[in-house]
Amino acid sequence: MNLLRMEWRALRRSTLLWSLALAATAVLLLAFYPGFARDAAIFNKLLDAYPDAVKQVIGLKTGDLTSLNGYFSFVLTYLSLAAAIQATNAGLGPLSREVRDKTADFLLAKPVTRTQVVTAKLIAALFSLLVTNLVLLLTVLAVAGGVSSEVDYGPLALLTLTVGLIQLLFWGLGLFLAALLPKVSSVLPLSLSVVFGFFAVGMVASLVGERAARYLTPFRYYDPAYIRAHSAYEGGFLLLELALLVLLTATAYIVYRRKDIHAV
Amino acid sequence: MNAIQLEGLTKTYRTRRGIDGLTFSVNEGETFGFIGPNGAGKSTTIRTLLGLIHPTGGRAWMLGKDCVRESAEIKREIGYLPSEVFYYDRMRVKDLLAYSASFYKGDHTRRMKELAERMELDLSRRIEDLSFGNKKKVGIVQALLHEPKLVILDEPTSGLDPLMQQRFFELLMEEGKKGTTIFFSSHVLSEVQRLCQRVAIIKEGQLVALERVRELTANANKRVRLETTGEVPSDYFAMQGVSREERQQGSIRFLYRGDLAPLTAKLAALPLANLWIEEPDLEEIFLHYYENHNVRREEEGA
Repeated sequence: MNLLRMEWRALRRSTLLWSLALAATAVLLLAFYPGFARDAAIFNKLLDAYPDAVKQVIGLKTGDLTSLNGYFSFVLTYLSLAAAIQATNAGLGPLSREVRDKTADFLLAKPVTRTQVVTAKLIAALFSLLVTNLVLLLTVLAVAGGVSSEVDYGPLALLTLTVGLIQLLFWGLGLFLAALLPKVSSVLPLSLSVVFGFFAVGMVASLVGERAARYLTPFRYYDPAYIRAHSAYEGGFLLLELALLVLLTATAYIVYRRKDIHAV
Repeated sequence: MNAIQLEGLTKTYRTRRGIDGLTFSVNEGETFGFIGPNGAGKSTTIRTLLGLIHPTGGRAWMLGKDCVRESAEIKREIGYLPSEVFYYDRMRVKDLLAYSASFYKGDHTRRMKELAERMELDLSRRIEDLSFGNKKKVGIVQALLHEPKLVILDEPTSGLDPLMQQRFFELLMEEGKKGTTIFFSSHVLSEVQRLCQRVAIIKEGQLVALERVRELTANANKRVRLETTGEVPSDYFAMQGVSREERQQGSIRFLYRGDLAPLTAKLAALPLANLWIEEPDLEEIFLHYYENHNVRREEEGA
């Protein structure tokens, strides 16, 4: 319990900041919706003028902007991008912190197993992501009614929760990297490269061919159009996510348990 | 039961030297010195014992438990002071020590205050504002707080001023009297001499000697340096036990090994301006051991 409390203390501030920042961005972008909806016809015409490839890259299809959920799908692209940075930090930061701050000699000489250490860090980070997603979900649901008179709440909630699903994968990736690398001297640059790397892969691959691209980057696992049409996620990708998460966390446990912690 | 037992403990690295087949044991209740020059493998040994790094060969036990498989259980009874102390910078000393204590059974608040008072450590300060010496004090309190059965100290005196060093040694002697086993690593021989009953010497990852401290220093060279006001005949110190004599304008220095009485008699007859008789440093102890090894080898060869 003492370990968990310590880990949560370390994440508390950043959880609060990320939650507020993501919720505020969502509110800000949703506030533009009435304007878009009013001029939907013009925007559709404008979009039609773009080649398909460009539309793919910016994440918009013709007709998208005419419904709130369509517009929100476009907003999600950028929310997910920011949220992925938080998640990668949450995976990478805590597990690499003891070596970076040179406190490993203190903590690992205490009567705790490495497994307990990883578990405490894992629970604290998952709780942090849970809080962020709850704040985001409640904010989006609360604001939606204010910007549109016809809100399809079910799909809107599912769309919002894709942020959390994408976050979980990046968190797992962060955890995996933290266990694998001997030392992570600074977290954010590495998180940014991981996240923008996958974002760029998604953009490039979507130009080449949508099918393969979807497997290559977590950003494409949950297709907003599918969610809007079916009010559900694609089962295959949920399973793939679950398998990847198990693989990444299990590897992190195994590697961290065997890791040599060298003198500073 | 031995407090610590090593059997062929080995840690090899691809690029740097680790430790090579260390075998020795520390008795329960003993204050045991572990000396060697920097880079000899002292920290590697300690970190392997604590499960911070994993051995590539051999085995080790502490308090009867396997250092790899039962590491967490072992640590309930162990206090460890790393050679360089780093803690969570934003915490206050008090909170850090309470956090440290929370890993062990029982309430240790009184002991914390008592130790902090003796080491003159201000509990209300933030870790990041502490000097190196004060951080070391936090480390000392943190290592002794939960009254462990075995205390492992890696170069504990670096950064402490002489007064605090004295306090710390008093604390350790009290602990020793209570029956606590103390494993004390250092590259300063005199510290080990003051505290320890036995000592293991390690060099380049290998055990060079395991001896009672008394015998170690009795057999070792002392450094003698003197200044005289008059002339000293060049063969004046041609006696048994004197080696490597050097002269420089009225100052004479040499190494001496053996009974001090004949030496002091000789010295007393000189017009001395100044005199130093110093403990040998580690290098000279090693020299002594290597000489012995060579002598033994020659005898075996003859």
